[in-house]
Amino acid sequence: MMRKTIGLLALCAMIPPLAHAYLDPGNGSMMIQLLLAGLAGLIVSLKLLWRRMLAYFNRSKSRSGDDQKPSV
Amino acid sequence: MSLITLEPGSFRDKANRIFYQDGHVYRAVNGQALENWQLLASLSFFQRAVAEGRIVGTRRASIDLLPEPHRGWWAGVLEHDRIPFISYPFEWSFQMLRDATLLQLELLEAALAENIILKDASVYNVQWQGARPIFIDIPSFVPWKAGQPWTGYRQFCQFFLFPLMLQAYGDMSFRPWLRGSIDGIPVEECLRLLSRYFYKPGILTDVIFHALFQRRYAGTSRRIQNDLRGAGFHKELILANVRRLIKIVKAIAWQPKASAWSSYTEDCSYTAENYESKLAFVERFASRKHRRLIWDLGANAGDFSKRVAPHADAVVAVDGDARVIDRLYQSLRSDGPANILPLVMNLADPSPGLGWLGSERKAFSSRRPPDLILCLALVHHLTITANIPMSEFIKWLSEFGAELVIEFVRHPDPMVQRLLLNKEADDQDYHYHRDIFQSDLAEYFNIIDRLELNNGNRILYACEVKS
Repeated sequence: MMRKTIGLLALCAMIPPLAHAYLDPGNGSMMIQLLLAGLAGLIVSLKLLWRRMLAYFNRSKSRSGDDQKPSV
Repeated sequence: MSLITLEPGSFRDKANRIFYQDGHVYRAVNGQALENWQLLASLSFFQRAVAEGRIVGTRRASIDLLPEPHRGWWAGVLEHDRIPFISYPFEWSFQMLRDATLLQLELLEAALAENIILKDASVYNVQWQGARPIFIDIPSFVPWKAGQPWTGYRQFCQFFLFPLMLQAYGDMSFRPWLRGSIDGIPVEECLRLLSRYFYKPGILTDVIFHALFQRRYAGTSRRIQNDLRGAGFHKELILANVRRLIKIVKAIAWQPKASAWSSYTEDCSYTAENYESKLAFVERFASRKHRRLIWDLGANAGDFSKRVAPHADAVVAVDGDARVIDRLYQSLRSDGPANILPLVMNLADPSPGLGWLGSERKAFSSRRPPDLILCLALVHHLTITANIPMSEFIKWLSEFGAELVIEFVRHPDPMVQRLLLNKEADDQDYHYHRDIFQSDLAEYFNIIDRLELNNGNRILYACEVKS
């Protein structure tokens, strides 16, 4: 149980929070529900991480595309 | 049509507003809340919970109850069964808060099975019918939307779980924390209070990790709810969490140390015969007519509350000793009677008005007034231990306009001797004398019966308030 909990915690902590500070103190309380729900939460955490990674690479790709554009 | 009175504590949820008219309790609801209510009323979990007395009885009422300017703002009106006496969690014993917590979780579990969720988790949504918790906030039940997490989880922790942990693990009373903070115990504060108990159930997950997650996501700009929905957050996750919490709460226990008065009835100075005479005197006076509400102030084991309960719609048994009230609560749960509400309160510091404008949570003395007050073996504690002026206390009692049975214990009594033991002042300094007491009493009340027991050291007075 403890190993599963630590594994889930590490996984959830990897999901990057984005900065632009709008304060919503309930966000952490919602995210931790993935951890607390155990194995079922693990699957959703993985999906969430996967979506964030995809979003990150897509953004990097479009930014590098922007860099190649000549400035006007 | 008589005037309506808006409930000053019912403003947070904009979907509805409580109001009173002619002693009835109504709730004006907006279109969405009315639609939710119509769905709710058709669901089996809801019907079952109402039948079992776990959710307040509710029915549709006419919108014509609302005066003209209000009518256009609301879509409908519901009527609720009246709760005999409103109380707050900072007046409950440990077992009472624990049972209120289980009610909250079990209702949520049952509701989820029918795709309904509780959108918040305010402890003030639970009230009492005697010693049975009852959920009163119907618009908290809303349809669960796919991907929606349990938004009330943080509130649940702050209002229910953390106060229980504070008492059970830290042996610290949760009542001052809840009385001092309208939103319960914040996660960060609970972390500082309880992190040393990391090995106890729920501390690592619901306190330590919860606080870490709070810190990590406090500054995020994303709407986490949308992310969770997109990732397929589903109902089973909420159910798994709720079931885990039910397990924690069922296992949580408080082992209190013996308190000064918890063995009071055993070692008090009454003989069995005199004690029975006292009970009979109180019951005789109480039974002169049927009472709506009786307050038993300084109720201790609740013997007198139980004796007068058949003559009243409701009895509120108040004592400052949380352990004594916990024990009384458990005896009421197992053996009844069903119309006694036990509450923990220091009568030298009764609950004040709290929250917005000081009226969101009502002062004890501003709630439903009693028509009979029992005040047995209490005056010497307030006068000698808490230094409350006797005349002021009697004046306070008279302000409710109720009848009164009050006991005066003279200073040769062993209990008064014990209270004076470590006091530098003596009974003279407290103006603690039978003649002074009687003259203070006679200023506000007509004494219509009296009984002297224990060689005249304990005197009971039955009184009517002077008009």
